[in-house]
Amino acid sequence: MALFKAEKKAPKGPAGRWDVVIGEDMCKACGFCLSVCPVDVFAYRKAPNKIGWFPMYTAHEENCIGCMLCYQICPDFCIDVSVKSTAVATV
Amino acid sequence: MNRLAKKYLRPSQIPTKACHGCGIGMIENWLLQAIDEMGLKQDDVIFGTGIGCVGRQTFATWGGDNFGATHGRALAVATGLKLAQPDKKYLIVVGDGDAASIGTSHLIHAARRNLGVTVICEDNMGYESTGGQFSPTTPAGYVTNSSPYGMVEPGFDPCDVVKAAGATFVAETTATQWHQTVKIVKKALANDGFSFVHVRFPCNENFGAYALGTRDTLKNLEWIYEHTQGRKADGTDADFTWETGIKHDASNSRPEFSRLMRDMNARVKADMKAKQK
Repeated sequence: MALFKAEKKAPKGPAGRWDVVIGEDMCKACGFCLSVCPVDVFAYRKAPNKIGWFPMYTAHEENCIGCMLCYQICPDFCIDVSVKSTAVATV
Repeated sequence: MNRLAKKYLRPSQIPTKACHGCGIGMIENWLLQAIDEMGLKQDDVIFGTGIGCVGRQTFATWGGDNFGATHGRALAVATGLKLAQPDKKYLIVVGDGDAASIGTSHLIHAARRNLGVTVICEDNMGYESTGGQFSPTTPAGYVTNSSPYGMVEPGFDPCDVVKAAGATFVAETTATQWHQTVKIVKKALANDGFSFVHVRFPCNENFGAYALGTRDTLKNLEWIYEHTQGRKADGTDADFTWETGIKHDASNSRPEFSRLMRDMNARVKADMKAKQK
């Protein structure tokens, strides 16, 4: 399916400028963010959270290109993506 | 918590009450985006819910004024509120049980009156909170808890019903169309009249388990995507396709119900004053 089989790309363009924050205590591990992310920012934790799921965490925040797909698709209001306040220019 | 949830929702309601991979949270997130892009504040919107999966999960999540009505009666409560406070925006979030089965006559008559509310019908194609029985929007032939040999009754499109009843804005999207949903909800909120948006989303625990044979969140959302596009991942046609997009847009073409009532009220009062003289 095109939605989830989006081609995984190597990070290019304005990567490294984005702050990806996950509320791990609210994550229910549906896996949507992992599947939509084109640059593999997310990964599953090995230990469960307070509500009993193995949550996502931002394993490779430096890869983020700010496409906001994870922000749009997260059903539990967990993910927020914003520009870093101290922007590191890497192009 | 994301920035819009912090701005508009009650922190005590997060983590949400939904099962994992449920689409209700996604759709609520898109509603918040539409509200934010229109520049509305918490006080400008009154959020009404019904009963069922959608009613339970969205109940009392909105930080401003809320109400939770009995099953299917959210529009009856909203009619009274709209007459009392006509300047607010009303977002009535109901499920397919509320909108298309027990509350159908409320829906039809609210559309007939052109009541100035926005109804978001979040449809998971069955009564999933009670164990996955079929509903009027279950696609024909699909197995549910109460139709183990496949759904034999023909389906029912709530969009056609409210359009025929006189709604001024009718649209349909699915849970894989975030951009379209935000745009459509903005148009629906801007309409001074009855707006109806039908959004289909995946249920993993019951519809997915019975009808699709899997509780895999990704496979269930993929099923929604295939039937939105009409094409499966291997290139073959899906067994049916939902028509999405704006189905009827006659925004602001008919007088709104609460304004008609207020005009009548003013006219009657003026007549009585004239008679007393």
